Amino acid sequence: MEQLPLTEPVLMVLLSLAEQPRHGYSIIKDVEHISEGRVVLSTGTLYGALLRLLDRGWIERFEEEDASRDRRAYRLTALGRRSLKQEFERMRHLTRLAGLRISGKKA
Amino acid sequence: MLYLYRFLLRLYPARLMEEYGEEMTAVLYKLHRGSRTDVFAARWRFELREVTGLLSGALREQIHERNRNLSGGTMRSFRFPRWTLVMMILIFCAVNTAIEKGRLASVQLSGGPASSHWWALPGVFMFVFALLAVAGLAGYGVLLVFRGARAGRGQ
Repeated sequence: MEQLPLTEPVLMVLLSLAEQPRHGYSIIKDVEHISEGRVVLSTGTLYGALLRLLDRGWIERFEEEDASRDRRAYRLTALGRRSLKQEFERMRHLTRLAGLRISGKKA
Repeated sequence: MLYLYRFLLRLYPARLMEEYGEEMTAVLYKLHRGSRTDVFAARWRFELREVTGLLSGALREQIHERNRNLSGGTMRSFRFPRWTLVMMILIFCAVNTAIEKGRLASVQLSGGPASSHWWALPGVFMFVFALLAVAGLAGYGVLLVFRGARAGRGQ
């Protein structure tokens, strides 16, 4: 897929949505939590990432029925999940290769 | 600070603000409310991150929106009126001539030699304009002939 590799904010947003659909505020808090405070998204960065992902069709926006205030939420599409898996495979290959090269073994 | 956020949100393209403005404002309010309990340094870090995030986000989205329009969005249906081009040339000639006249008047008042730049003369402008118009008409005529010949071959 031509859009790989993903930037860190985009990857974190996808990982956050891979668990369950969320709205903007919830994504920011979840990303902060899963990265153990290392990645703190600003609202501008979050919506930049969300807009690009919506353009690519990796996520979709929907209206929650039972929510009182945050009516709009985001969820991963099948294409988004596939792309995330592809990125994960790429990273796993890189990590394995790096591990082998650093320890002095042949890949 | 909330006023600043609202102002910065206005820098985003209108289409996006219509769609996401309310949602982004709600997120900002929630984050802002949450940061009230933070220590001073953390609160400032938060404010700085949000302001720079909104500024860079607005710039990025404006560029993205422009590229989107140029690559087939609203620009495809946009037609530049021919008369606008003619009017722009005429206005450019008039402004240039007025500037040259003003320069000449100031030189004359200060007792200097009253020599005008040839390229700022209205007659030269009119000549160049007429030349361009003739060239344009000739080009249009050639295009019409070619189109007619292609249509004839097609039949």
